[in-house]
Amino acid sequence: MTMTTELSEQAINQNPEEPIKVRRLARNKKLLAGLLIGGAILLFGLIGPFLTQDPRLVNDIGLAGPSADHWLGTTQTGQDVLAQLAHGTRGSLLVGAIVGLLTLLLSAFFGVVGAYAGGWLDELFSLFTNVMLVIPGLPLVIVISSYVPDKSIWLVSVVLAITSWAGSARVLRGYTLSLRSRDYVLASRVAGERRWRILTVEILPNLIPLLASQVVFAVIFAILGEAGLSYLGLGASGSFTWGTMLYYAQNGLALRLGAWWWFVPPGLMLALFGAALSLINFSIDEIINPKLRHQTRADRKSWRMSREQLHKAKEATL
Amino acid sequence: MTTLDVRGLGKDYRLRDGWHSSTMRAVDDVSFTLDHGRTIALVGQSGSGKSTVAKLLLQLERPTRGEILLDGAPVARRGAGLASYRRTVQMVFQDPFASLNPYHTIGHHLARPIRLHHPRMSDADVGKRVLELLERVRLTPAENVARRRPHELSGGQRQRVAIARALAPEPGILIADEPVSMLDVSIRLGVLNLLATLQREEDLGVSTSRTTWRPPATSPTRSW
Repeated sequence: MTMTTELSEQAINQNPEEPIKVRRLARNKKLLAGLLIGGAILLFGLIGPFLTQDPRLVNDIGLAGPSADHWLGTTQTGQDVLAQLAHGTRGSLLVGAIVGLLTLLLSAFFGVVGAYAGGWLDELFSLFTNVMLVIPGLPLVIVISSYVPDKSIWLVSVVLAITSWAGSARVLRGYTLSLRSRDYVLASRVAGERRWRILTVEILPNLIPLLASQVVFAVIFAILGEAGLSYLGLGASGSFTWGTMLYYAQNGLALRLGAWWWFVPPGLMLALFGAALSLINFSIDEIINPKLRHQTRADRKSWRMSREQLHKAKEATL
Repeated sequence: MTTLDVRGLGKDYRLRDGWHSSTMRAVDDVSFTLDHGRTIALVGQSGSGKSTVAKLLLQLERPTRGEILLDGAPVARRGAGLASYRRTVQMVFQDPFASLNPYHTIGHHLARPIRLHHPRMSDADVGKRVLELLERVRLTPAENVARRRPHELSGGQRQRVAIARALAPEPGILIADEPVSMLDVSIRLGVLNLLATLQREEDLGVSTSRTTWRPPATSPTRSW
């Protein structure tokens, strides 16, 4: 008895400062790669449009390959592809940001608040969430596009957000239901905390990793969804995104004419940004669920005995 | 001088299974009186309603029948009355691994109840009081422990933190729901002795609950 207490007190003294978590995060290669690629694309979208030419400027050198004047060549009407790519990056990121923010707000409100309040409010919110869950995004946008002739990028984003928040609201609701009956929530009720304070101080911090991964997922979904809509010609009119670039490249027969500089850059950007966000999402998952951390093949191999160890073990048993 | 009177306490839960609903009687006609400086132990097999009684006493559930009287007056359900009840009756939960929020430091866990019950206390005084509480449950060095998060402590240390949190509002009555059942046998005695010492020091009424167990024939029986 005395021994155990002494030991545990030593353990307390040993390590007074919290280990610096930033260093441990930096060692996570997935997170690092995701942040680097995502950060580079973000910077390009923020700064690029100020440095490039007017993306709408029509020139008489149509479909010219990369050159000193036009680093990524020109489109059929002689517009600079690099300038379009910079503006397109900004547009696509804007869609991602708007949808990410709206999804965060809507899913947190309907998922967390409903589940925490309980009773008829929970029933009502969860019914509403389920109804929103089954509304398909693509047909809704087609219907809206036939009513609204001049769609802005905001309208497209809002439609994408409205059709995409319900899934993460359900995930959040499930997790909040399990959190609200934990002992530490009951303990803070016994201590006399107010309800809103229990929600914001005791429950919400434990939801942050889940919220973050839901938002990252929503941003991927929004950017890919917007690209899909624009590619079908249902996107925002008169604005540049990666999707509209692909749409015009398709219309301009870029593929058949071999104008790779027109369709490869936006496609590559889409793939890279999606990959970067997915990498960030995986590493957030690993932070929430430490079990996933040691599941890569390299990790599992490192548990095996080395060749020399195997040899020695064999000799020892013989 | 605090007395908690429980008279004919009962609790029914409604179970819903699709359209059908049935009632489950968790607690039926429980009466006892808890005096300052005394210990009452509720003993029963698992599922017999010990934890439900604890939740009813803590106003986490509403009793279906019966009443709970504090110093002869019925307990308020909300507002200032409930707050003053919470100052008098506190609880130690069963599972020390679940009863502390993994996100907050030990210091935060102890500072909150102090602030709630003494809104005018200055930050420095709250900090001093937190360290005092930690020292009272023998968690030293206190400054060191206050900065830690629950996952850095062992089960026994966490349960001491939970006891310190329950003592923070200086209650007259402490309700402990199987306070040692989740702990290692070697640590149980320490936590129980701590509770007994605190009870003597503070003139605290303690109500603990315990599942019945049949000890092996050779081992001595403790009635807790």
